[in-house]
Amino acid sequence: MDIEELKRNHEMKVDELGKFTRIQVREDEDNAFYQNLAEYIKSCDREVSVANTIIGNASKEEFLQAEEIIQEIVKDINPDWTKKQKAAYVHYEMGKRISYVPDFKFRGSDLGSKLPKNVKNIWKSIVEGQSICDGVTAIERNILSRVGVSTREISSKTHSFLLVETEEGNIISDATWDLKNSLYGSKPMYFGKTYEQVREIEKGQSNAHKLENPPENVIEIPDKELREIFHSLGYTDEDRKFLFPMYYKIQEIKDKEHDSQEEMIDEFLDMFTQDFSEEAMHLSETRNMLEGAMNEMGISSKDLTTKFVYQKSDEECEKPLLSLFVKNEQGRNEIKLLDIDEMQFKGIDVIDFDKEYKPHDLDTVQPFWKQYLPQMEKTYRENEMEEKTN
Amino acid sequence: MEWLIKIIQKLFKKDKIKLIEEPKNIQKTKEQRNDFILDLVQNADSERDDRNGYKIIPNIQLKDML
Repeated sequence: MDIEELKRNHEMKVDELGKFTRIQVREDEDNAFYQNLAEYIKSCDREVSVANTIIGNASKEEFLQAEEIIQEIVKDINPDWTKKQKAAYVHYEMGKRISYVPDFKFRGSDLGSKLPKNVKNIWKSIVEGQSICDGVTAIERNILSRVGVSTREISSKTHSFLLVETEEGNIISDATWDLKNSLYGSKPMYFGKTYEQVREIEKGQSNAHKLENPPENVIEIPDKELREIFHSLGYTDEDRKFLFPMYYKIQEIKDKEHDSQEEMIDEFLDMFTQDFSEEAMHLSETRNMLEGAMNEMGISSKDLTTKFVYQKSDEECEKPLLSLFVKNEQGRNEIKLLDIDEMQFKGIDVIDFDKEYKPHDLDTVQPFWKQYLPQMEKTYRENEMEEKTN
Repeated sequence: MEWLIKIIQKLFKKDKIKLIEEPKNIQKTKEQRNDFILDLVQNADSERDDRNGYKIIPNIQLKDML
């Protein structure tokens, strides 16, 4: 099928811009359309960029690479499944494929940043494995439309999620807020909840789901039914409990005797980098999960700090690193830093840490480790301020 | 509410007593104020709320995720 025929049959925008062709498509076309588009792009000898929104373009190579991944997902979706099963499968698949952009104060509308161009484009996000809420929503919509499930994007002032049409009514799917749950194989919390239930969960903490006009005809998927749906997809055990292997690993570690809390944490972190090395690459979700794991091991949230830091040589703050600090009774001031390349947590003394790492350049809050530096390590400015006060 | 009006009428020996209900706009202002306070809390924790709605909900126990 040539591009003219595709244009005749589908709502798409094709612009010839100098040496390349820019193609902008809707997010809810069927699978045959994307297969035809891929065939056309493969044979196209001009440079091509494909977009699903105004910003963000995927190159020919990115589009074709991502299409292969999407086709794999589509192939795994049984056409006989109910729409709830299809939606559940895609919802859970997001956690395995996508990580939330671990950037400080990242704004999707900030056109000055390189990131938003990538993370809102379906194909680029899939290739790079990073996105934000409306990117995740776009990917979900795109895949579901290929398997005959109609969806609608819902946007609040700060967030975006999905309304899925099923045989029995509409269901809410917020795959972004469930990324860590689906990545680590635990129960999704934002699938099949009513609008009121979602608002209740976030009560007092966030207005991310607050809508001026809440969607109508939203049905709840009760816990029992949800477990049956996910069991049919292979995500629970025979007792319909989610597999969530991390939970059981933590229990094993907790059951052992340790000389100190520090020893237990070290054992956990070693186990984590060995057994969850693929998941650990998803920094935002891992940060959340580590906080939950530490809490499970009896570490109070007031004694735990996690933060994305950057090497001082990283001028543009492009490569966030996950740091973790547990305040201990012995007063040992060591910060754990996740080294992705060697896949291990390295303990770094707070003085050395301060020499090599920094918070994001836009972060105006005093870095947490400064309070643990010896007096002499205070900055010139801090000393100056103190002198003035005295 | 009628019984309260009757008691007040007897006490003050006045026939025309009308209880004033909280006007709807006060309720709306209260809600707006609560949202404003919530925004302040979120902004104070801005690293966790990147304004794209990815806010961590830390109060969940791992056993509830099974």
